[in-house]
Amino acid sequence: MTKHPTTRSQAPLAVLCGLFAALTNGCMQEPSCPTLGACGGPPPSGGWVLSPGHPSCIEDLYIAPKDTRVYGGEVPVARNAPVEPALYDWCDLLITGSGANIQTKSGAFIYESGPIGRTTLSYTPDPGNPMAGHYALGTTRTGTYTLDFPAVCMREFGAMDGKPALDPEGKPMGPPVDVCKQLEPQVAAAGIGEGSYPNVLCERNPSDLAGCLCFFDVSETGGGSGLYQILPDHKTIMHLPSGNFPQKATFCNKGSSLELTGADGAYLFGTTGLRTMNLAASSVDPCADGAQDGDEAGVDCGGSCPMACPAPAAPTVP
Amino acid sequence: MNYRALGAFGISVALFSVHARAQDDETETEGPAKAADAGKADAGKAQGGTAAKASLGTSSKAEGEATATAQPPAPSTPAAETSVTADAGAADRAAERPPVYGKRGDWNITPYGYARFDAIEDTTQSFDDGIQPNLIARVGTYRGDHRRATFTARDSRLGVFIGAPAFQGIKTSGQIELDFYGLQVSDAKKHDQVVFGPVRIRHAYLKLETSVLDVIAGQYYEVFGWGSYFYPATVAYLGVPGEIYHRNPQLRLEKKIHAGQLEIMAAAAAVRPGQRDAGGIPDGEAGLKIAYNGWTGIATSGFGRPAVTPISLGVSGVYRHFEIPEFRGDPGSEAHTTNGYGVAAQILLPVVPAKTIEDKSNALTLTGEGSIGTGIAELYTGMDGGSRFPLLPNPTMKNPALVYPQNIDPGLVTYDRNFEVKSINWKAIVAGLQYYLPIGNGRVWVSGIYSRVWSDNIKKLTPQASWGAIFTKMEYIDANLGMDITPAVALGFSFQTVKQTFGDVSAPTPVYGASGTMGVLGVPTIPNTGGVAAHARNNRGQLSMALFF
Repeated sequence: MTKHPTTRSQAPLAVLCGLFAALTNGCMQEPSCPTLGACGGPPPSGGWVLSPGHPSCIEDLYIAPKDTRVYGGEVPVARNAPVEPALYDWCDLLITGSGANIQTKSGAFIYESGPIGRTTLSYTPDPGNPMAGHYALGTTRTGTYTLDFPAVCMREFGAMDGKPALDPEGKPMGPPVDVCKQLEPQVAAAGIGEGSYPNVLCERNPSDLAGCLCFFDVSETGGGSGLYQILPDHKTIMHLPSGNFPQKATFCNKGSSLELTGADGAYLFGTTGLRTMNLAASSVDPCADGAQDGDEAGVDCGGSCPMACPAPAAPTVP
Repeated sequence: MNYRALGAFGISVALFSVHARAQDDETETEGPAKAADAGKADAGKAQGGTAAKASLGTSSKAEGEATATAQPPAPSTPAAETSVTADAGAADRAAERPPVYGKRGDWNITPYGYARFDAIEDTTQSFDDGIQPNLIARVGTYRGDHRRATFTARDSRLGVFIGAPAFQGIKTSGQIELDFYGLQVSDAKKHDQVVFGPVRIRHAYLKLETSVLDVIAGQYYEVFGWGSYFYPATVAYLGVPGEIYHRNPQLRLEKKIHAGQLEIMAAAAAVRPGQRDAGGIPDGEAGLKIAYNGWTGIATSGFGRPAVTPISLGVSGVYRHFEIPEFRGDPGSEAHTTNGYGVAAQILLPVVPAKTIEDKSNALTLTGEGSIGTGIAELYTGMDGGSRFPLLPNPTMKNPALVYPQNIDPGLVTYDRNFEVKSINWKAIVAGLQYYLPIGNGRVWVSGIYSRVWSDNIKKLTPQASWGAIFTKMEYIDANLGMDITPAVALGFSFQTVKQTFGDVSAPTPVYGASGTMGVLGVPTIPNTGGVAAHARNNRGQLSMALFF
């Protein structure tokens, strides 16, 4: 009788190959933000806000702060090696001037994956064409964060206790205080331009008495506006923001609720990490809700609101 | 340990060796005919010699077997090369072997190696062919949400064992082993990175065996971790995360003592320092390994060849010194110093013993390793945990900003919040189990590994804004199935999963909705949310085939 060992051994080999394929065709990382409904429904219109208890979902990403050594110098001079990669600065780019006061802070603080706490979204269909129109989005990232300034950062460059805090223009504010209190107006001012850092409180660090811990709230506004159109599948909406790339989102509009998910894993509205939003129909006019949201330049003024914002008042020294 | 004295001893040994060879060269040079005969003899040995017994590409087991049968040749001397080109009979002597010690036929030169193919499928785009300790791409990023396929033959190896004739009771041997993971230019195309495969030195050393001590000089596995003696069996590339896996140039003294079936090996070495500019002081390593030959099992190092291996226990340590400039853009000559150390213990336990390589059926072997240390990250196969030096403060806003003149690889030491130099701590465990099925006398085997490596101070030594750029813990699990298609060809399948826990944590979820208001020092948040350490995971399927020779 003739043996056919080669034929016999092919079966387990095939099983192994199948197992290999099975192992490698699954096992992807599960997204932190599950996809919401994509049932389509009537084209969304009107105003929407985040549903209470149904937060937006943002992936927990890490976006490294920029290396300040290479601003404008990414290409080194010939025959000079690029600088070694480095982590961020222990001092969070805290700057002290030539005097003994804490004077200024360069740039914005880094806070990670700040959740979006407030959202207003409005869709205004074109007359006679419910499948396209204009949209306006306002988001506010909120949270309470802590900055830890080591003693070296607070002291090494000449800052001293017993000096008055300085305002952003370098003018003294009030009586002499310690370096932590001197830091407060600088931290608050650092948020200007990307939102604001209200409620700043800086205290001595109990575990590093010459250092400071600063607590601050973040209220960073963002968003955008532009055109939108419903795609032929009636489940996907394409946003065409002014000054940004088009973005697609699947939607499920049930009249009183609107679920939005970045299409095919895209970030929603181009906001890094933002995957989904669960919105509720808003009966409140965003231009009369007592908050600065959407593309408003101030509280219920500017942007797409009919009322223009008043001219800013001159700063006063308390 | 007086390192400088040790170094001087090493130089003396090297000079003595060269001198002895030179004297012999003058008297032992053979004519062309004899050289040709010797070449034939070597070829015969290479084909039918001991190469098949070597535990290929993995081990000092292989090295140990080779030294019993192979002796290294001496390199040609410049003087000899000159005479060949200058003499009138240069044409006749062109084929002549350069003068070396002993007759050509008394040398043993045994090539070995393997040709290997790996097909790898990853669920993220984080790694090249090996699971290096890079940061894994997170979910929500492009590289974290998409696959990568890697086909490569770069882990093929070519080596040669060299044995010289014994001289006055001194046995001399050597090994040179290469693979194809050499450095590439930074702008190489992905195609070129995989397909070109520049050569890299794995081992290149000489060994002198005397009745008193053995000496190894050259690049070889380090004493710390005891090299390949305790490697786990896996289709995955070694070292797996948390495994001490490193080779370094070194000058090493070994002493092996036999007491019945008990074998005790002690070793000490001066090793290339982890920091070249550490005040001229090399790393010091030492270890003790005990094996009992009356209790043997089957063990495979990585995806190599199985070997009969005794129950073994090893302990080893490393001590190193660091000197770095002050943390300034324009440091003076003052050096800031600290030291690193590492301690490791390994075990190889044949749970179900086996006596012969011919029948491996049901052999079950456990391998384990635990290590702890500081400033030794790179000994875990290039790991750095993502740690880098912090940016220099720039209080006077100089543009361009000041740059710290770093003189050490990242991940070993850094400057803490008080600008004091600190070394980074790591602990690791690796446990592996390998079982040879009763199929074809053990031709089919399964194995698995669990390992983890973690640091208790890397986060403390990292500015908060960069916590997302470091990992504090890495865990690894694999499961493998291997089989010998023929005695020379192995096929392996492997599933590997590795998870990294990063330094940053998620923010608490604020209270949402149109009516959400800002609190005074604190946004209202949903209780028990946030504070979760960010993490990422890569899963890998791997198919490997290798022809061992």
